[in-house]
Amino acid sequence: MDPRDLSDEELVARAAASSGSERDALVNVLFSRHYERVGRWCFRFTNDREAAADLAQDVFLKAHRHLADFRGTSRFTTWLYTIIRHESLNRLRRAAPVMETEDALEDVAGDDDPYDATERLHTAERLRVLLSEVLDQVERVVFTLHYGDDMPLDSITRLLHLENASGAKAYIVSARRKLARARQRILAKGQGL
Amino acid sequence: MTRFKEAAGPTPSCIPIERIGESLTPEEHAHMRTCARCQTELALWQQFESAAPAKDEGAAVTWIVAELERRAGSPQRQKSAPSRRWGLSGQWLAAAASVALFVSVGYLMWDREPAIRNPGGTTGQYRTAQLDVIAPLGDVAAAPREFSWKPAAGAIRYDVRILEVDGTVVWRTSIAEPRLVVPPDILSRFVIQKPFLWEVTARDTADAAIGSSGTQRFRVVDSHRGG
Repeated sequence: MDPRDLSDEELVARAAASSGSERDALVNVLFSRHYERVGRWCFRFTNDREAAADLAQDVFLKAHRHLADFRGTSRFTTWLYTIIRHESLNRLRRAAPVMETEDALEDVAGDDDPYDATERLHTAERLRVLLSEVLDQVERVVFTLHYGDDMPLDSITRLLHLENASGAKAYIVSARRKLARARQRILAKGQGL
Repeated sequence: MTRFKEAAGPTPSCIPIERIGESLTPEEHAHMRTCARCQTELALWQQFESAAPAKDEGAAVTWIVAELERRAGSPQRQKSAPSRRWGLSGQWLAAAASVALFVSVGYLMWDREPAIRNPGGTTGQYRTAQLDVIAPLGDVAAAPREFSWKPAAGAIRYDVRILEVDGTVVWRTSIAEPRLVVPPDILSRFVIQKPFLWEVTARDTADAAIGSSGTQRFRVVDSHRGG
């Protein structure tokens, strides 16, 4: 059967059972199917086509080296997603972007002293509950990516396909406003966060 | 900020990333409803899976695809076996070695990519982000006049793409019902022995992708001769 007739998962299985040029041909068919999907993600992430091509190349190189780890317990695209997500976020860490010194969560979390490990865990858990209760879903996602993963707002706007005028920034502004109000309510009740 | 990073990070009860797009157990589904981290992972995965094009990115994506094909030595829609592949190219091997060294150091310094784990024989699973297709699938005896799939809760529209195996789009359309009747001009393209791929993406009122079938395959076989 022509390898182009096979599903992604069948191609991986065939590649695992092959070697040499036959394996390479199978992998080539498999990967080329996903060039557009991966390329689009990388472009949204980087907003630069050369950087996107480099990121996509790293993704496929990593997929190639780890293909034997794919066990078929998920769809191939899900497995590929774990790689592209990992590579993208690692790139952010390596670039060590200078985040805005926003104190959104300082507003919400309160003072740092006293602040031992146990207290930190409790605060983190309370913040999780607050995010869940106060923010809507898009605000939660944007807030998590921006403050949790240090992802720039323009990347978030493109990755989430946000088409409102100011993109992710609008959701951050809205989320901060809601969290500040929630903090005021908590303080008024005399509870710590 | 440190405290928010801790709050936004994964917890032991979070759904592993490699499971985000798969069938979720009721426990995982309940966790998803309240966990900002897991909702974030699901939103990112849905964007990756749906591959819906945004405005003004078509040319850039086309260039990136061409660049990947050039770097891999795989001309677009190549019909015969290419001589330079992902695994064979000297240029790629050199690049792979460099990246491997860099990534290996990175692994030691940072975290590790999660391995694909077996869901573990859970029972009572139900579909959330994954759409279950009904037909056509695999080898079929006649050109399919209808494509169908199971409805997704909250979906108001389904985007359907039918492709040739090299990625050429044969037909792209949207429909409100979980079934699609194929027009005659498209039907005539489903010739015997030629395989096709298709995928359907469910969208909600906010136009967000809430489910995807992944890529499915079918081929019309000559019922007199078999596949």
